[in-house]
Amino acid sequence: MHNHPPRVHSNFHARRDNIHDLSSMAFLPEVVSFRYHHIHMQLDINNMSHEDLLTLGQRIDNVKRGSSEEIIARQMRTKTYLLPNNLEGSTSEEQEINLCIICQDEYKNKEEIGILQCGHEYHADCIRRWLQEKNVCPLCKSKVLVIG
Amino acid sequence: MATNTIHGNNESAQPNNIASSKQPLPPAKTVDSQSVLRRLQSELMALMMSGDSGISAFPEEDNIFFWKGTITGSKDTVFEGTEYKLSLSFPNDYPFKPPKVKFETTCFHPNVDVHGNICLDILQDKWSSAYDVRTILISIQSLLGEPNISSPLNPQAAQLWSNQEEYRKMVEKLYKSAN
Repeated sequence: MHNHPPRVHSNFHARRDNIHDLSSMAFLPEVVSFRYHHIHMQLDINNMSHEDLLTLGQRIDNVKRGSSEEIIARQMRTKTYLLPNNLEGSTSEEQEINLCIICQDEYKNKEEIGILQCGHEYHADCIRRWLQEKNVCPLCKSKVLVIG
Repeated sequence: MATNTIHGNNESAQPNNIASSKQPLPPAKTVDSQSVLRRLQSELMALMMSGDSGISAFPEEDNIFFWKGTITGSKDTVFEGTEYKLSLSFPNDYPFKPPKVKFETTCFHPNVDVHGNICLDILQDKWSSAYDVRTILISIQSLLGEPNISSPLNPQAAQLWSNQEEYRKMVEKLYKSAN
């Protein structure tokens, strides 16, 4: 709870009046500051703006859903992308263009491809980075890695 | 089987002032800024080639991380004939994180608040790195005609939605005063 977004401060200021009421019996500044601090730590979600809530939601989401690098490394299959050798004589229209949907770049010769259990393929680095955000396939949303 | 070259794993090199940092999250794994740039450029190309009707977007001068978009209300909805400007702001770790998308034109809609913030799951917890500007704009366009009434950001709009005739009048009135 110590590293929530600084924006929350604005709510804390908005609630100052209430806090004064609460602490009017205690004239010691330490007590007042303790109460401020306490309210501040609580994350007053009732008075948070839409954006504050989104930020908070995304933080919780990120903690909950990402996969650790070890799990990704253990469970993702990889292969090396090889360009077809018969480039000579074929026109560019005949060649299939293979894109990684994450970076939207074409696969280049000898790049490492990561394959998820659902069969969807991406650049290995791109999908590793994504799985650290969320444990779902970007295309079909299936949970791709079994935690544990 | 897995190979073991994992990049960007040098968190120890990050400053350890997380608590006071503007970023609430632990330092993100670095994303090559060139690859973000490349992706945004290829999105722009694809968007210009696609010829989708009723949606468009283009980067601001000098800053490809900030785009302005427009959406036209679909036919046979209360938003038909109205056009809305939006802003899209891309984070440095796009597409691993969604862009921030807001209405710049006032939009009287159950899932849009007075500041133009949009409540749409794919821009928040349902974001996927396979989405792009085009899919975002198409999603917002269909959100216009198919609001989620159960969790409104604009309760007044949610309440009025059942009366489409009155709603249309309200849209026209607000649209005229905003333009």
